[in-house]
Amino acid sequence: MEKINNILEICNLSIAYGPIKAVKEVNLEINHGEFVALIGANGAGKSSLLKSILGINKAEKGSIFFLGQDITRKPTDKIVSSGLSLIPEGHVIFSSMSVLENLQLGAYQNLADFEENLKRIFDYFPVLKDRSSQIAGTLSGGEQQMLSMGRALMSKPKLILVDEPSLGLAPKIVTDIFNILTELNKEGYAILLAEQNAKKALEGSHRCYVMKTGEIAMSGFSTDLIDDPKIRQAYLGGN
Amino acid sequence: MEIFIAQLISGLALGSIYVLLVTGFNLMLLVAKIIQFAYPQIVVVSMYTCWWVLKLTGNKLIIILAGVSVSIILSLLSEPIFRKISSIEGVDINASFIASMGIAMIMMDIMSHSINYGFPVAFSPDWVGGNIFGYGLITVSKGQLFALLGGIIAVLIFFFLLYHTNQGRFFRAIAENRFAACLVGIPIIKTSIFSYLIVGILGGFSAILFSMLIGSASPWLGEFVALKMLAVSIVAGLGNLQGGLVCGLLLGIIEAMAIGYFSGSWSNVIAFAVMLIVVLMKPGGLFGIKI
Repeated sequence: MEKINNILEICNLSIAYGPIKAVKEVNLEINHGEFVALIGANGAGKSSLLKSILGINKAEKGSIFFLGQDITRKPTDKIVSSGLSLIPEGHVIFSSMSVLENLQLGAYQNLADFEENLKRIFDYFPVLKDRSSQIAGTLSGGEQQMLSMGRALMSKPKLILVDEPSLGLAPKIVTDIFNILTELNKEGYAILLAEQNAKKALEGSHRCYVMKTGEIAMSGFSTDLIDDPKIRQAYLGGN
Repeated sequence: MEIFIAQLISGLALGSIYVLLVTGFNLMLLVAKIIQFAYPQIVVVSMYTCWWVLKLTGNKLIIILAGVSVSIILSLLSEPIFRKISSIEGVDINASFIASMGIAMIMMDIMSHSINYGFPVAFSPDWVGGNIFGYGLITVSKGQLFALLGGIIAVLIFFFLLYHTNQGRFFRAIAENRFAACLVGIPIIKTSIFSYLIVGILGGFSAILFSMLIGSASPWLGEFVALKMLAVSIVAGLGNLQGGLVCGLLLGIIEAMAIGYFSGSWSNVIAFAVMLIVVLMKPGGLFGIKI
């Protein structure tokens, strides 16, 4: 049997909302243990792409393979239980439930090592431990983002999709969150990060795809792209 | 004072039926994302089933099983229809309102054309039972006692399910944030179907308790009660389960007091006038909208 090197492979994926094509024939690949960034302006189709990987947006054409399995038309709950997790943009949490209950729901697809996972999450985000009985809606924006991340990690995913974690947060918290992502990657999690903050994304990632109006405009190693004049011009604010 | 106590008892008994209906209605609204206006009509069909089985056999267990089964079957049968038009599929929730009104109308017409020549059906005294307690004007009938106790037990079990089981947590998760529920891998469709099952069970018990309480059923009862159920859930705050408990009981009490102190035929007017005033003062409901 052929050994599968990539954890995620997207082939010719197109997504349409009615007549509007959000994503056009995208090819993308992520290897085990890789930290891949997906940069592009607002509305380039980054979020649509991430949501379609999880089966929330249905693909019009093309296919998505996760660990060699075709997941293109699988229901979201099956995809999540196979080891994919999405941290959505804009802290999507269960705001009337307690922090602990949010985390319990995150662990629903992986109840076996609940206590161990919970301890791990509390190590990453000590603030969640202190507030575990607090109602999630009363947390600050940064704390809600951490809860959203913690919840996604509770299922012990093999690949984490992260959508604009920096959105609307203070620079200090953004740095914290990027540090945590780097740390998670070092522990072996593969990460696909969609981010408008191109500088941060390029600094943290191994490879990067640049998305423009639904298409992959460029791709390559982040260290190369960060010096590319076109990228500097378009996404990093000139020289 | 005796009138007050007597009417309070009768109001609480009636109110507990409203509570069961509003609770089921709210669960559909929260989890299946539909306006299930046909729910009381399902309860009435289930009451007719009880009446029919009661004529065939006196075995109470069989009657209860038949009533609950019919309610569960009808509730589950409506699921594929509603799934197509529920807001889960991105359709406006109002579409489900129209669809459920249609379903209710069909059930009403079938009953009024083909069962008992369209006349209301009366349950035998053996099923309804007489007074089991009496002191002056204050009496407690068997139906009232069962409605009250049955209602309390059903609501306690329901809230236990909601707050202390995984399924209940899924219900609350979907109710609160469907996208987040999707993300954590909750099977949305399966959980939604489970909510139809729960509502079917609740409906079956409502039918049994309601038939014991009022001792009769008519084809038009469902629509009449549906209006009250809808009104109560709006007055309490759409989707607000706790609010529905309070307001369901309050409506029962207001109606009973109106019957006790005014002419009985004015009870609906008074009940709806009170609700109109509440809605004018608090358009979002007394306890807040939860959807």
